[in-house]
Amino acid sequence: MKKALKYQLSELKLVFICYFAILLFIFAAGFIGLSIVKINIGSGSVSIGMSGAFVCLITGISIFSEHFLMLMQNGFSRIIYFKSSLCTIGIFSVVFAVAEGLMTKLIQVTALSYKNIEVNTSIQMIFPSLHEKLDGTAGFLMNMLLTALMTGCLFLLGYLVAGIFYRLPKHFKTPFAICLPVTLFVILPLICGLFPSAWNTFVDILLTVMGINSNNLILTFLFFIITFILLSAVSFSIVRRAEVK
Amino acid sequence: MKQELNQEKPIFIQIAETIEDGILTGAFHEEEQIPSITEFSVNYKINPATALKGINLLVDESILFKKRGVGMFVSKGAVQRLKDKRQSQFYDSYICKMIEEAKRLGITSDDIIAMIERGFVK
Amino acid sequence: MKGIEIKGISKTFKDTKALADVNLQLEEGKIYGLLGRNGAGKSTLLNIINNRIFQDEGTVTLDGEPVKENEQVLSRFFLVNENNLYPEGMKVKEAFFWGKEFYPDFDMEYADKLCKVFELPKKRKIKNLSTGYQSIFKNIMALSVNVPYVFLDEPVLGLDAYHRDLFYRLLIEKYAQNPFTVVISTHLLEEVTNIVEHVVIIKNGQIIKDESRDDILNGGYCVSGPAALVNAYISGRETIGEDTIGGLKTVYLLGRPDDVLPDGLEISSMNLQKLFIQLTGV
Repeated sequence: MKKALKYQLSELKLVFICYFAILLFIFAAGFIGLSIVKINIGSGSVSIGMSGAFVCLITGISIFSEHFLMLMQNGFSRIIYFKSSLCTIGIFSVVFAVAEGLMTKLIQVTALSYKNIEVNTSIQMIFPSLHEKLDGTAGFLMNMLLTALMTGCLFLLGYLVAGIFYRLPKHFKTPFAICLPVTLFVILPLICGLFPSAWNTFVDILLTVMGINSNNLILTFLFFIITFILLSAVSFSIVRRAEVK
Repeated sequence: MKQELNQEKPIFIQIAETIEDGILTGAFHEEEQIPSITEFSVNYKINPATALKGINLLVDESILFKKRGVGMFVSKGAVQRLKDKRQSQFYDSYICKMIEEAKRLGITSDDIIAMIERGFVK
Repeated sequence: MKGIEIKGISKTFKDTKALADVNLQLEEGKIYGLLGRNGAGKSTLLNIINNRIFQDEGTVTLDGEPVKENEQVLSRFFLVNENNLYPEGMKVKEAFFWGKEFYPDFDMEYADKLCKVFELPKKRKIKNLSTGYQSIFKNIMALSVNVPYVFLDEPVLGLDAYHRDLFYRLLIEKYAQNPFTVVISTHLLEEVTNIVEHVVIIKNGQIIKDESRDDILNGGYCVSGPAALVNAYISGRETIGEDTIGGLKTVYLLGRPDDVLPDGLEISSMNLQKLFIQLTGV
């Protein structure tokens, strides 16, 4: 499996380096620009997590389509490919989380003079109630661990979607490709607007299970671990019977 | 050396005949090495096992011999042996067919003898 | 038993039975010709052997070990077919690099030498190569990996005559220096007749001939001449096909001819193409 892993990691490292290089560049340019121009900018909060989520999903998708075929061409079994993909996702999630944490800290430190810009991690953005719990060094580490888990789930989600798309027979592929974004961006908001009480109940249940409502960190961790395991199991069943045509 | 192989005779026989022709015309001298199996098979685009079969045919007839680790060589006296063999085959290989065709065309044996003498005079 | 053993392989796609109870043995160090008409099932069989698609029934083993999902075995196989499974954006050079990583016996120098011989630009992206050059690239990979079982599915499709000739010569040279098993699947019979040692003919998903090339060629002959004479000759004999033009008739027979043929009849040897056409025609 080592060879497969080496391949997958080396193919992805470029993505990773590019992403963070671009981020660094944007923030560096931004701060240098602001210190030169000295405009009075409004307040707001930033997180690099949101764009990161997008990168994770897309990367997850590419792991399935390209790596699967390349490894099958070169005599690897599907089981090895899956194990290697999972390791790749794990490693990248951790690296991503660490990078995001460090970068956020770096920006927070350098942005001290810009008191009206808040730079947060993805956790702080999505789960503000957890924000207070994750203070200090231990908190910083927990933050990164949770981010790693979330990132992993995102990767796996992209991977799973790509896998489903790959396995679908031709005439189902286009409907699937259309239905997915439509569901997310049209149907869900519609439900949200038309049935606000039902939607609120649903969100409420979700947040409870995730431990947000009760501020239960353990529950949050458990939620993401279980999600990760579930996504892995479904992905494995997809990969197991994937044919190369 | 014949460059083209045809469909009529088995390939290994054609290879053997090509080597024989080479020996008879002096392209391969006695006690000299002939091209390797690899060279033969690449040159004629044939399976090496086929080339080997043809060569082994000649080894069995003592036309060629193998030097371990080096390759195939033309045996001493191969030229004479080949001439003897071909002479005894001459009647079946050439004469019979000629007579068949002559009969088909109504050419008599006297006609043939006259043609042969004419041919040798040239 | 040494070599690949294929037992009872069946595969159905939707409502077409692509392969039906296929049994075959592929020994080490032999060149096989896998022949069949378009759609006969050759590519399906090769894909199953190489763990690309799954059989409905049957097993494939190497030296007794099952091949399916077994990378110990699969690392000793290499398949090239019309699929290009290399990632978008991968260059020829990179493919060679990974070839060396995945196959320890990959001969990088030899691959580089072949690139020069075929004039294949190593820095080009694989997807940007012409169809012919993509085939050439895959063939160079197949010749450089140095694994004991190489499967070539229509390796010369899209290649010009010069490159086809070059490829066959290189294949033979490599094989002569170090025999390995090659399975060439093609419908270009004339080109491979002399190269293969063993012939397997597939028709409608079933193997109809599985013999050494010499046995097949010796196992049949053609008789031609005036139709009446030919008909008299073939009474009581088994023919596998015939061609008639005007009063001239040619029949294709199995077996060996008598030493003496009736006057007026001509005998010629069966070649693989004639045999193939007669056996696989409708």
